[in-house]
Amino acid sequence: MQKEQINALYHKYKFYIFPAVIGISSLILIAFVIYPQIMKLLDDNNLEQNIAKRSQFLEVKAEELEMLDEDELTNRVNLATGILPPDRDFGNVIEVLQRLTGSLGFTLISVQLGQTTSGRKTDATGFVTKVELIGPQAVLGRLINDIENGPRIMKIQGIELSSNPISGAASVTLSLDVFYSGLPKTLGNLDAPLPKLSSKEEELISKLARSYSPPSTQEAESSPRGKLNPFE
Amino acid sequence: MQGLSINLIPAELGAEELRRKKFIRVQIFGISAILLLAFLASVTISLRILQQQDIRREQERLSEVESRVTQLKNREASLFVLKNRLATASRFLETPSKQVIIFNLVNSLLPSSIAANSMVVDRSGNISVSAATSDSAALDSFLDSLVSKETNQDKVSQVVVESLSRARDGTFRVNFKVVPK
Repeated sequence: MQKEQINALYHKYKFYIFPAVIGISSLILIAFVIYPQIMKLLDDNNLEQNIAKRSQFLEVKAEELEMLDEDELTNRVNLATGILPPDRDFGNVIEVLQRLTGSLGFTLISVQLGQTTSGRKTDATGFVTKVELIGPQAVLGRLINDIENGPRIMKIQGIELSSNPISGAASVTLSLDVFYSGLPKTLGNLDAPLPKLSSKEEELISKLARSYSPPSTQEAESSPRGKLNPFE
Repeated sequence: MQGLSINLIPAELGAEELRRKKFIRVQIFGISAILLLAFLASVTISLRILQQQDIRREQERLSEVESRVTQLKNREASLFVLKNRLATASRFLETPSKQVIIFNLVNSLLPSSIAANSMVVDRSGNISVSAATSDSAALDSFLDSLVSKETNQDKVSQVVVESLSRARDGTFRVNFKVVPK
């Protein structure tokens, strides 16, 4: 009886029931299958493009890194950390001063290492160094320029010169600010582009390579720092 | 007898037949719509499956290139250190210090007939010179060159002669100060 009633009801209202069922089924298909899939397609399309873009960027970065000559890069880093070391390196300061003064006929009398100073709108730190020397006044200008453009960043802050006009010798006291700078805290990451050297920086490193050998490969050209036998 | 037709089918049956045909049309339309939507659903699902495969392939390629870059991270670190050192060093080496500029200027203008007994350059870049000469014209010319913009390269703000004396032997002793710009 119930089945017959249902059939009769369906037969009476089939023009409404059938389209309603079709409509609801269509809505369910659209709402739960088609629409979500299309939205996912669009989202994943963006994702795929981002992945491809990142791959391409990393591919170029990997090629650039592979093309670098490791030895040349190490030499350049040594030269660059030689002129601006990550710490005070007092020994290097004295060695550089001895080399520069000795090459122009000056005798280094004393080197006093002093207090910290800061460097010229950079993150470098400096310390004051007082240098006393004796030598030919005629080449003092050259010595000062050599110190300012030498293999270690040093800036002359004061000069005291007293000369003997007869002998041409001068007694000189130079106040220098000697600089150093800690290594950068971040050394790049996967998504960071490789740093490019400006033309000025390329010129500087080439000049350093021509003029100076890096500290790690340097032979001891400077005069000895003390007596060979301290007990004599 | 022509043109005479008698419809013996009851009117309700005719209406029923019309209704049935109409319903068949509705059924065809409804089923077509469902089939179309089902087809669309299957197409989108297939596209998603293909897209997932592409994404997986791209991710594998990305992992491979990431590991290549990671293996070269020492070189990358060296580049960062190099750039950092050179950028900072360049700023220092751009211009010489004021003290060196003024010392070189005075030194270059000082004629050989004037003997500088002492020179002091302080932290502000002021230079104090104590000199002696027997040639007054050379001394005059030297002081003029310090003051003139053509010869002092526009680097001198002021020249102050602190003392000037002449000894019995005709030697002029002068103490002067040059203030840079």
